[in-house]
Amino acid sequence: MKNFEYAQPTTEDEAVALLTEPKKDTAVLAGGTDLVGLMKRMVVTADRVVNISEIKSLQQVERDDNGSVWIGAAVCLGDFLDNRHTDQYPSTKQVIQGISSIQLQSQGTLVGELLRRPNCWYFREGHGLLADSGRMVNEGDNRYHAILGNRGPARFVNASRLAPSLITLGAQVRIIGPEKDEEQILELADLYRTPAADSELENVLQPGQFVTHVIIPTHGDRLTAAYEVRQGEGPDQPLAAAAVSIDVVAGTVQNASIVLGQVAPTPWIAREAAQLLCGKEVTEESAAMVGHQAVSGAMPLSQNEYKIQLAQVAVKRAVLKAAGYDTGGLDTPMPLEPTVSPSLETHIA
Amino acid sequence: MGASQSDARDVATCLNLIPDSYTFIPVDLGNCCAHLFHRLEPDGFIMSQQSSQGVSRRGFLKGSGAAVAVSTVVSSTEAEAAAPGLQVVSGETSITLKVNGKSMTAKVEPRTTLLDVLRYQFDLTGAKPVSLGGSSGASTVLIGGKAVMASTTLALAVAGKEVTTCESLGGDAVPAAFVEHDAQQCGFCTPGFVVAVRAFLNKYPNATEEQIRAGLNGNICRCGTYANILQAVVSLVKGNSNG
Ligand SMILES: Cc1cc2nc3c(=O)[nH]c(=O)nc-3n(C[C@H](O)C(O)[C@H](O)COP(=O)(O)OP(=O)(O)OC[C@H]3O[C@@H](n4cnc5c(N)ncnc54)[C@H](O)[C@@H]3O)c2cc1C
Ligand code: FES
Repeated sequence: MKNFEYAQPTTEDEAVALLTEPKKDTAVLAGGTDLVGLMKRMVVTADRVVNISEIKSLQQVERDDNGSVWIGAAVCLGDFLDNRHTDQYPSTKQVIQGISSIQLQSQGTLVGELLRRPNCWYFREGHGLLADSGRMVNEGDNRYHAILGNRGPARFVNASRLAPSLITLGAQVRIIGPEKDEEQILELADLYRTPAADSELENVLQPGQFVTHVIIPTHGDRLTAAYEVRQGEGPDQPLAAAAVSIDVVAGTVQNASIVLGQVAPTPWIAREAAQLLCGKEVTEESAAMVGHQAVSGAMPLSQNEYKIQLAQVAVKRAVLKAAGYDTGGLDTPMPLEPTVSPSLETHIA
Repeated sequence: MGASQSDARDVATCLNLIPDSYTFIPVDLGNCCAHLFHRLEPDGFIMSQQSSQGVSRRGFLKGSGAAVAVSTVVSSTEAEAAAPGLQVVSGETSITLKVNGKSMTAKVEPRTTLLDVLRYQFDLTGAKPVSLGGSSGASTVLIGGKAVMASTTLALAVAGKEVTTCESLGGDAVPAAFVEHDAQQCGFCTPGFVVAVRAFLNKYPNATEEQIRAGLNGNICRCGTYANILQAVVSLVKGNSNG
């Protein structure tokens, strides 16, 4: 590891001040499960590492007056799972249960998961996010790379497993910095971007900015589910994944949101597929049709055509699972009804 | 690990042909874990390749007037300190850790991991350096009772916190169950497993077999002793529910 300076702020303001040191390449450290490995490999070579996990305001899961749940950036995956306020988000919990390792659950944070760097092996071996403008991926082993959104130089897939479900729930992120007191609330979907040049990241955060909270709106009557196609049981990337949120009134879908994971450089929002589901009843057929639509624009690379089928099936099964069908998949369905006890509710001061 | 490149490619090709209703059988060719066992450098080795680059924080602190002493993180390069939260540590620093109930002092740089300190300064070699990024679970220790990988934890981040390593679990029921069920071959993964099992059972004392498999999937046993490890953990759960 290259040596660096280390700071452990206790307030958000201090963190912003520490991250905006001029002419220094700074990195935000949460649980470190991703960042420390990347620093050892010298893929990340920050001059200063700012550990945000001791900031009290980031350590809570709280409910605000609108019923939205705020998850601080120091909250680990296990604490999200154990918290009663989050019972209303079964699709996100299903995915975290799939990350099951006791160490990752107690060390890795939810926000760190949303911002973990791509698993593309060219990137992790130090060839940059675009790996020679996509050439290395095109000519090399690309079995786990993108099938959608891959027409530019970026061919990696976004690494987050939680982003698809959180986007279907309408989650937002609170970002602060780079100026003191500067703050914005962004749709989680807009946190991600497909880099077009080597200087760009896979997210829109500027130097000196960081995410303090993820804000998840109250669930209403939506039915949600996530489905991941995985080849192993360990803490490993799925081959394809989908998350779905639907409003069903009198047996007919009124609103739908479908987001795919592991298929594109960003979480992939399948708007047309979601549109197609609206006005229909959820059946094997309609779910399959929606899955087909979701991958209609796919352009496989030399070794990953198989992912089109997997992504399509993931969408179909997520739709069926949301509607309560037993899909015969790998996960046990979670109860769809929230069981939040009012006495446990806290409010943001 | 275990699957060769060509195995992996075959599987990928086959997936193309798999019908919709197929339930995927777990095959072990994880893409994140692909580097496991290829590179066994302990962190200390990598560190020794680099020289320390102490950088002064004076420039940064200009204009922030407060001067408060810090108890846990003390920069050896600076006598006076800013507000504790604004302090920047560079170069070598002394920190105190509470390891297995004892207060111990270590000299660390910001890049020193907890695993480096345990192994190379405290001579607690139970936690193992196996993977660079923590994919093996071999460096698992408890911090404030929670299982974390010492290899991906910076020593400075745990200054002043309670660290429990496998060395303190000698009299615990977990290693005894491992012995009884012959749950190791070469034994290299065992300390990491023992600590992970302890943390897991503290949280889920009545875990089912399925939950045990899931909760322990952050630990890898290269010798493949999983069946016996599972038996050992199941026996502990049964012992627990039988009172
Ligand atoms: C072997 C292995 C396999 C894994 N497999 C999976 C997997 O399959 N699925 C999965 O979901 N996870 C997996 N992970 C875990 C993954 O690292 C996490 O899920 C984890 O939650 C990341 O959180 P962290 O707090 O450790 O992040 P860190 O490592 O601390 O940070 C991750 C990245 O996010 C940035 N960051 C963190 N917090 C913020 C913030 N608040 N604002 C701005 N930037 C921030 C960091 O700078 C860094 O670039 C794996 C980890 C390991 C070691
Ligand atoms: S017993 Fe040899 S690695 Fe597990």
